Amino acid sequence: MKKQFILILFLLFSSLFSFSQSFSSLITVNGLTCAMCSFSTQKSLEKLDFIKEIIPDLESTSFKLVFDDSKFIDFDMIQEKVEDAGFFIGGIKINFNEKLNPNNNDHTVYNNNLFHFIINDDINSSTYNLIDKNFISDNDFESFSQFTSHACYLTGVHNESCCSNHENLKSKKVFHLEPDSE
Amino acid sequence: MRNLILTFFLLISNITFSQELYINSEPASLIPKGSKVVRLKYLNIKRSESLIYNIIKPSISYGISKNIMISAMFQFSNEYNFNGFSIYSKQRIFSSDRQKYHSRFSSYLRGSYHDKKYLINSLDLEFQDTGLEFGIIGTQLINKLAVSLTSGLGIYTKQKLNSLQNTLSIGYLLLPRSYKSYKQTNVNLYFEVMTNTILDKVIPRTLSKFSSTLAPGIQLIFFSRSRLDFSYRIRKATNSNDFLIKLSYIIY
Repeated sequence: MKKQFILILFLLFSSLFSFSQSFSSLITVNGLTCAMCSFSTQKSLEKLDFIKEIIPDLESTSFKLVFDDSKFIDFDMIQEKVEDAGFFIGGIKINFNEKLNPNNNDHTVYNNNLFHFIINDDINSSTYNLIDKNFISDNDFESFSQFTSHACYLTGVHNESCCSNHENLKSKKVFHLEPDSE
Repeated sequence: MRNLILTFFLLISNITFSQELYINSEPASLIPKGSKVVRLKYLNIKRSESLIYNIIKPSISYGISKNIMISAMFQFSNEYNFNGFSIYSKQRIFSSDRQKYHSRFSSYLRGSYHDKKYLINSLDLEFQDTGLEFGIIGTQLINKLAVSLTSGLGIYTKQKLNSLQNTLSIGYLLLPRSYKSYKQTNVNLYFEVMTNTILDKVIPRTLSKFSSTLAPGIQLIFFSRSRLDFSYRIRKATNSNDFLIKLSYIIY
């Protein structure tokens, strides 16, 4: 009985507390044509304190960003820093290092970020594409909008009327993801 | 001959990136926000066997925002010591980027003050004339080729002349063939054509209505942050050619 109780207690706690999990992101930057341009982008990204490590791939003009698990990851700031250097984000892929099985409109806290999953087909993946308004084309945004009625997809913030119970998070921002099919 | 053409063709078709860090003109792209570029330019103008001007131009550029950058240039020479300065600003108007591709438009404004003339047969706000210049720059980059067009109006206040200034700049990257590291040295080749058309009806006898300068050049980029440029300028109007060497370093 006591053993079972401890087990239940343990399961309860493990579901309540999210353990620090590590995740990274692969950003593709458009318009880069020289090492000098990539270096400028890297230097601009280095100013963000939630990025632990930047691994550039100069040939494919992409950067792997390893995040600091203790911090809120502001993907809008990543975009701002790339644009400060004079370039544009082509796409952001987020790798969770584990397969997640979210349902459509699931809201999941991962470290200090709240993610909202928009699922329109049955893909089990550990890699997800960031599909917030500023990161994709207007047409793509329109088509993803059909799969969610949540206001947060339009506003980018969580509040009481939409995705409640996340008041203790460091940021009001919620980022939206769809599974990467590749 | 056939081999030469073949080699040239292979060279062109193998270039995977192109460059737009032009030597004699500015690209439509700006320097990153918050970064500074310090530059030292050396100009060698040979007027005759016994008269060679050595001009040194230190300058600094700063990226105020992703849309605005400014530069200040100062000029010294062996004959006249300190003899002028310029200020320059560039504003981004339009950008469209895809992977390894971009088209950009910017506007620019240049103000120059120089109190010594080096080449009497040419108008040049870069190193010897006083006035204003404003215009637009369009840079197009598609895989293997970077082409830029600069079109501006030059107002020469001392001579009371206005001129239309057009520059065509072409650049491409020769080395490396594939990017692996920021430490790889880049080698870029350039070819630029600068033209100047005086719009006024009455033109001073020393000048011609239309003049052009051809400028081939080569550039080395070290550690993705230092540049060494060399360009030889063939001035058709003056028969007095010159060359320049430019050192640039970017501070983040």
